[in-house]
Order: sequence, then structure tokens, then C-alpha cells
Amino acid sequence: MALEQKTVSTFKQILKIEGISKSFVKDGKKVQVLEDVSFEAREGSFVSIIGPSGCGKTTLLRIIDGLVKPDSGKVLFNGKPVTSPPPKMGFVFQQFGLLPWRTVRKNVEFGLELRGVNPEEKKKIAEGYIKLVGLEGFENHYPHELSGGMQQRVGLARALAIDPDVLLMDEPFASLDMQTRELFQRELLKIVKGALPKTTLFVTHNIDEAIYLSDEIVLMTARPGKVYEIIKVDLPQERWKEDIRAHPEFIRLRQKIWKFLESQIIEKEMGENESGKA
Amino acid sequence: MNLKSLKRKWERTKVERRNLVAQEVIVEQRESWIDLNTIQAKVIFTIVSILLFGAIWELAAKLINNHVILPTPISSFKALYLLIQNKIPLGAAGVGSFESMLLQTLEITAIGFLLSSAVGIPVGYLIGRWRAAEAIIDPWINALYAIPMVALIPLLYFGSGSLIPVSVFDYQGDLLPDVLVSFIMTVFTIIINTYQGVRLVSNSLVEVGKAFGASENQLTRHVVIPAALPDIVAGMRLGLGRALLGAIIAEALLSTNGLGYTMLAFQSILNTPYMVATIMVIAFIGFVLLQTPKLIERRLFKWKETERIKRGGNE
Ligand SMILES: Nc1ncnc2c1ncn2[C@@H]1O[C@H](COP(=O)(O)OP(=O)(O)OP(=O)(O)O)[C@@H](O)[C@H]1O
Ligand SMILES: [Mg+2]
Repeated sequence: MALEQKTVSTFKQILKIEGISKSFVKDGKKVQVLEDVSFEAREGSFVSIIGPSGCGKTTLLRIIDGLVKPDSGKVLFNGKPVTSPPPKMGFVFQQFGLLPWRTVRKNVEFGLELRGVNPEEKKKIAEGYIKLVGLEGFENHYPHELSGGMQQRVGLARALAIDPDVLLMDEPFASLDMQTRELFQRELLKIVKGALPKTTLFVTHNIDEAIYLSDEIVLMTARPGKVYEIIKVDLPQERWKEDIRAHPEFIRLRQKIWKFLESQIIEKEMGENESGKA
Repeated sequence: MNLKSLKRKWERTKVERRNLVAQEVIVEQRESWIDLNTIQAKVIFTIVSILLFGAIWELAAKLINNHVILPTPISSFKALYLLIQNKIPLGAAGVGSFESMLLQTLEITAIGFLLSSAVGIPVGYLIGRWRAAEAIIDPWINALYAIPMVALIPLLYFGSGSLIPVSVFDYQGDLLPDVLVSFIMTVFTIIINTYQGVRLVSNSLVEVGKAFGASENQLTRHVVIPAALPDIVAGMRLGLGRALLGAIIAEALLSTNGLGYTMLAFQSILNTPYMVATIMVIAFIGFVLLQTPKLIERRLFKWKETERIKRGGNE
């Protein structure tokens, strides 16, 4: 096991985020959302980003995918700066982002269609991923005919279908119930750490989820979002094989992250109270 | 760890997942003492409504007792029957055959509508999508839309002959001014609906397209147009009605044939039953023009229809 981890850590840095800052102008007022965010991701690693609501996690993912320009800083993907969405990055959106006029199958085929994959192959690939996320039999349903959790799975299948090297996931399991969520965490790990190796950036609010899934966790402060700490998760690699949640290291990390998030929320509320009085 | 064994594991958990899912998609069924969902119920309501209207009309005609002001339904239908049989009353100057008036009105409506769609949809798309285009074109649309279009008709009548060579449209007659009136009555409705539809396409959908590598062209084809299509088609449906209205107005004011002209010709000889009969023909065309696209829309936008508000006893 130790040996396996070592080989992983010698992989190259596929993704470098260097000094990203971003602000928005809202009602004539400038709101600093991200401030000097830097971290890296080794090829094949699983990196979670965790931080209080509104700290700019979604914005950060959009910048990494080249959908939004940062005010300063840059994103390097395989050493090249990202200026528009790279073909080898897949995005799973927080609000699913399904095209409502397309059926489940057509949604999963979307990326392939844009790439001009021939219809037969397109259909075959889509069917494989629909099966993988457990939506067999729902191929011809429209998004509004599905539950939130099912829609999220369509979003996941669509991102996997383009066979990305890097998977950006924005709270992809937020609308699943507890059991399904744990099931999906396990299956996701099996996919990105086994069957279809990928580098994954995973935004979540869920501490256990972050520890269970990640090689590294990027802790972000409340807005303006800064990197507070990057935590290495020193747990066995094939985590689905044992009850990792009872591991002493798991419990230690959970406590540590929980303390940090609590301090962030308290700080934010106090800040708001003060500005309210002023 | 290969894909196959992965899939096998999925199969195993599939049943439990399927169960979860099955609960989610059960359609709620409503019970009431009278089932308003059936086709029969709808037909009955429609018939009752028509009979009620006929009764009120008959009663009013009886009370007024003057067939020039208001003919009875029966004499109007009789006139309709005769009109369709090409039995035109004496003195109705220049009224052509039923087919010829019907065809002319339909032709003006169709060309006016097609022309409006061909111009209105691209223009609406441009100003909906690009701020620069909006800044250039939108003020003109607002200004033109505010003018009562009927006021432009004399201008068109004199202008069209000399400014646009009639040979462009290759009409044997002089339908060009009529078509232009129909076009002007229609095109703004189509532009404005397309514009609204495109403008309100959510940015997050456009971002999804971009994230999956869509080019500008692909964004238009695969995201913006499909998202705006319900509004575009709704605009076209309204446009059909406007095109017919434009055709009737143009014929009444400019032409010597067509249903619009015929309607006024009957009025001028005080033959109200025939006039009402002509109006019935126009109403019937309007009804068909507005109903047919509705059926198409319902099929085309199944994905949207079920999202819509549920109306009592109708869904
Ligand atoms: N296009 C925009 N225009 C103006 N402000 C924006 C825009 N996008 C995001 N923001 C602001 O940036 C901040 C961060 O938003 P973001 O969605 O990145 O947060 P988040 O960390 O993903 O939150 P959550 O965990 O709730 O999803 C918010 O205050 C939001 O209001
Ligand atoms: Mg977010």
C-alpha cells in the first residue's frame, strides 16, 4: 500500500493554479471573491475544495475551466495556460446544467455530438455511461421528469462521456440521500482511481465526503476566498475496501476541518453583525 | 479493477436504486365527481358554448328586427352557403369567385408571414444576442412599433409601385402593397418574440455549451435556438394571426379582390348577411391558423409543456 502511494506521488503536476484573484461588481460595489488562490494537483490525484458557502468555490472551478477570466493569476493545464474550456476537462455543474429539451440520452451525448463523434459510437458510449450511473430505462426521459439526484447523475455521465483527463465537480452529490451518496462516493472513487483514471477537483460542503475521497483537501476561508491550508490525507488508497471512516486519522482530520469551518462561519457572522450596526 | 466488474457491482445495487426511483416518478392521480380530463367533456363544453352563443345572437337579432343591422344566424349561414357556391348577390361590384378571394387572402397571408419570419427571426436573434445590434436596431423597432401601422398604408401604396420594381415579386396583379402591409403588421411581433426568447436564455445553459467545447455556431444551434424556440414559435403563431389581419386590412383598403375587399363590397350594398358570411370565412381561417400551430407546439415542446402551470380540469 505504501509503495502504491509513492508511485502516485511521483506523477507530474497536471494542474497548477497560480495566484488567482477575482472580484465582481455588484450594484456598483466591488466584491472581492477570490484572493491569491494557489494550489496544484498531481496527475491522477483527487483534490477536494471545501469552504463556507459563498467563498468562491464555483467561481474558482469556472476559472479553472476557462469559463471566466480571473483578474490576475493563471491556470496551467499540462503546462499550458487555460484561456477557454480545454477539451480534456469535464465539468459537473452544481445546478446540473442539463439541457431541458434533450432527453437523458441526448444530454449524455451532448459533448460527443459537439466533437462530431459518429452517431453509432456516440450512442454506444452514452449507453455505457447511462448504465454506469444507474439510469438504464430512463434514456428517453426529459430532465424535468427526473428527481434532482437523477439529474445530477445525468450531469456526471455527460462529463465522463467525453473521457476527460481532469474532472471538475461542483458539489455533485449534494442532492442525493445519505445512502445513495455514500454509494456514489465509492463508485466515483472506483472510476477515477481505477477503471477510468482521472485527476479530480471536487467541491463539497461535506467534511466526511472530502476526507473519504481526497488525496488532498484545499481549505478555503470565507469570502474573499483564500487558501487557508492544504491538508494531505494520509489514508490507504483503495478506500472502498475497508471501513475507512473509523480510521483514527479520518477522525483526526474531521475534527480539524470542522474546527476550521466553524471558526470561519462564526467570524463571518460577527463581521456581518458589526457591519449591520455600523 | 476493470470496467466489467465495476458494472457488475452496479447491476447488483441497481434494484435498490430502481426502487427509490420508482417512487419518485409515480404520477399523482386526481379524483373528482366529474372527470374533466376526457375529450368528451371538452367537446361537450365547446358545444354548449357554441349553442349559447347562437341563442344569444338569435335573440338579439329578433329584438333588433332589422337584418341590415344584425341578420339572424340562419340567414347568415344561408348567405355563407350561397357565397361558397359562388352565388354572389347582384350589385356587389367586382366581387370575384369564392375561390379567387379565398386564394388571394391566403396568398397574401402566407407570403406576408413567410417574409416576416425570414426577416424577423434573424433580426430578433441578433438583437437578443448582441448588445451592439440591440443598440442599433432596438430604437427603430420601438419607434416603428408605436406607429399605428394602418397609417403607413397610403405611403406604402404610393411608394411600393415606384420604389420596388413589381417584377421582383413577379405578381401578375398588384399584390405587392398588400403583402407589404401584411409584412409590416407581422414582422414586429416576430422580432419582439424572438428577441425576448433569445435574451432570456439563461447564461448558465450557454456556459454549459461552452464548457463542452461548443463553437459560436454550435452555441447558436444547440443551445440558444432550442432554448428560445418556444418563444420564437409562439411569436410565429401570433404572427400568423397578424399576417391574416394585415391581409384583410390591405385588401379592404388597397385591393379589388380578396375577403377583405369582399367584406366591404357587401357592406356597401347593405347586404349584411353576406358580410357576416364573409366574416365567418375569415374567422374560420383565423381559427385554423391559430389552432394548427398549437397542436404542433404541444408535440414539439413536450419538454416544456409538463413544466407549465396546471389549469383546473384541463391536464
Ligand atoms: N456573475 C457574478 N456576478 C456577481 N457576483 C457573482 C457572480 N458569480 C458569483 N458571484 C458572487 O461571488 C461569490 C462566490 O460565489 P460562488 O458561487 O463562487 O460561491 P460558492 O463558494 O460556490 O458558494 P456555494 O458553496 O454556496 O455554492 C458570491 O458572493 C456571489 O454572489
Ligand atoms: Mg457553488
